[in-house]
Amino acid sequence: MKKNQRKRGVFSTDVAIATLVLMTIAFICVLSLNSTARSLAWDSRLGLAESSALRLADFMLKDCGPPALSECDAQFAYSHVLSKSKVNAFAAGWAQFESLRPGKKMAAKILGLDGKTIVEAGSIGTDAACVRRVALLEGKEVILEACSE
Amino acid sequence: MNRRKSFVFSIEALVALAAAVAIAAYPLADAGTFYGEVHMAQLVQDLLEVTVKSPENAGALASFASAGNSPVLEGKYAAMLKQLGNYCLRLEASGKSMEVNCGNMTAGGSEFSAERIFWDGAGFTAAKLALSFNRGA
Repeated sequence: MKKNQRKRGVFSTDVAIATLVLMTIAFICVLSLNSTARSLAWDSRLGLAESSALRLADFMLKDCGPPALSECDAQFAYSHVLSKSKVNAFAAGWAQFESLRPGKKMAAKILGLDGKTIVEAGSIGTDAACVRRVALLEGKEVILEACSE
Repeated sequence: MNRRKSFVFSIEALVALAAAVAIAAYPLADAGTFYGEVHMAQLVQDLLEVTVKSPENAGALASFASAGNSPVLEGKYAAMLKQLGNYCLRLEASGKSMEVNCGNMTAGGSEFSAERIFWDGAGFTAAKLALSFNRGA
């Protein structure tokens, strides 16, 4: 009788250890999947924001329609050469551009090589993706910064 | 003895599974940024564009191609890189070369380059500009 009881006891300990191991493995898997999913979601969001910022900056340097800033002759754009009149009207026209893209937060600014802002438009949070490009404004080098959330 | 054996086996299984989960999860968690290289390729083109499209810079590039140095161009590149990030820039034209912000450069990083043919006053010359991320400086 005592022998049988001892056997049941051993069996219970085995089950308990197996359950503990299983729960630990399940916990690790859930924890790992959770952190991987969060990381992927963050990367995906950042990737989309980066892509948007890159496309916005490229468009501003190489196209004629607002909010692009390049010098144009009819519809021919002189890439990397910014138009002074477009730069002056840039901030005023930005609201119209933003209204065409509801739910998409973007901002852009032009800086001199001394780091001082020449013109800026739009507001954006601190976790936005920003890209900087180089262009010419009245023959001088300027930095165009485009940001997207 | 049997108890001890099964317990040791469980620990081995746990460690192996934990390692497998960690290995499977690591590459997904370390995806990093996606468009860094696209941006660098764009910056190389930008720097060449502003060099050949500005009369002042084009003149400085022509003098660099003939004399082998141009403090004006070097100063402008340094000022632009200060705003753009920690990049190392290499310019080559007519066998002459110039480096800007390449101090303490570590080898092995990706390098992006582009070329333009420009008129230096006497003939056409090719200028090559290469940009790489300066991790060491």
